[in-house]
Amino acid sequence: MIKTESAYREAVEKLNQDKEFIELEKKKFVEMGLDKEHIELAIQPYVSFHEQLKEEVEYYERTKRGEFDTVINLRTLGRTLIAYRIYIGMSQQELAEKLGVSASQVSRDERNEYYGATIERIQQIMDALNMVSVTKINPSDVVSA
Amino acid sequence: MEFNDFGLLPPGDYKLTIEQLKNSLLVIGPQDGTIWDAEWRAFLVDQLELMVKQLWSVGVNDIFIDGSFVENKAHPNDIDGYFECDVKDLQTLVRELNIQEPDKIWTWDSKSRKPYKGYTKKQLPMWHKYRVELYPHYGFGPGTGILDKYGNNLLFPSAFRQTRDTFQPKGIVKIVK
Repeated sequence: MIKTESAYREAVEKLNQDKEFIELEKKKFVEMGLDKEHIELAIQPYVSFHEQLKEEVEYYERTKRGEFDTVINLRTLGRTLIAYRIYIGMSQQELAEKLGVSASQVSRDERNEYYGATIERIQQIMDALNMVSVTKINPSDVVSA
Repeated sequence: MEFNDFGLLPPGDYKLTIEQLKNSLLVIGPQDGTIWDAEWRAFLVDQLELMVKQLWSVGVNDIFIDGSFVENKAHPNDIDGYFECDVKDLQTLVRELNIQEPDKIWTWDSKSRKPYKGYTKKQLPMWHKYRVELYPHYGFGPGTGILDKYGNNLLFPSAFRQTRDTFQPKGIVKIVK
């Protein structure tokens, strides 16, 4: 998950380099005498990898705009807490100060996407972020999570 | 095997059998009270083993794993990795792999990627079945001449020897028989 502007800029740069890399690889495969179908197959992994990074970059951009995905059954709540911190421009250090913990603790929690955190802990973090989460309960036949 | 201050394995290739991997820090976790989902990590390795056995059966032996599974992360979503092969053999290899794989998940076609329950990235069929993504890499060629900020050539594996968000160098695991 991209968490900082510098990581975002590097990812964008990597996306541009990927395109150049894929073109160079294509040329190499042509020189090797591979046919068109074989070349398409050979570059598919590069394209998929590239597309995944692109989706990470787009997720960061959506986050910065304040566009959040619906959280289904808390599954992605940890990631959304991180996204919200990024959205409001609060650093890990600032969040740590508000929570009264070390910055390395926040860094560790975010690396784990708050895996294992108690409900009380998550509420503390939401309070520190001034984040409001509205949970709408649907019958189980409406949303499959 | 130990994580550094960044929660990464120090750069290098760590050779482990599947059994060694099952009993390693990466599954059992740091024994210092760190929150760790050992059961989930063991499950991921079982899934990996199924794919690795398919690769071994078609003569692919250089298999590496990386991603957040080889980092100090309690509950990684999956296992990422790559294997080395000759690009000239790729078509045959994919066919042979899919002959033994009932769900024909051996493909890297971006069009076959599908979303999964609120995740930000779409995933390949192999991920949906096994929670493992293994990419082919076509040997150590002359490279592209493009270097990252650490001076690593941006050959495909270099993408696996660094974190995907901050591009920090890190160690990875080579699965050996």
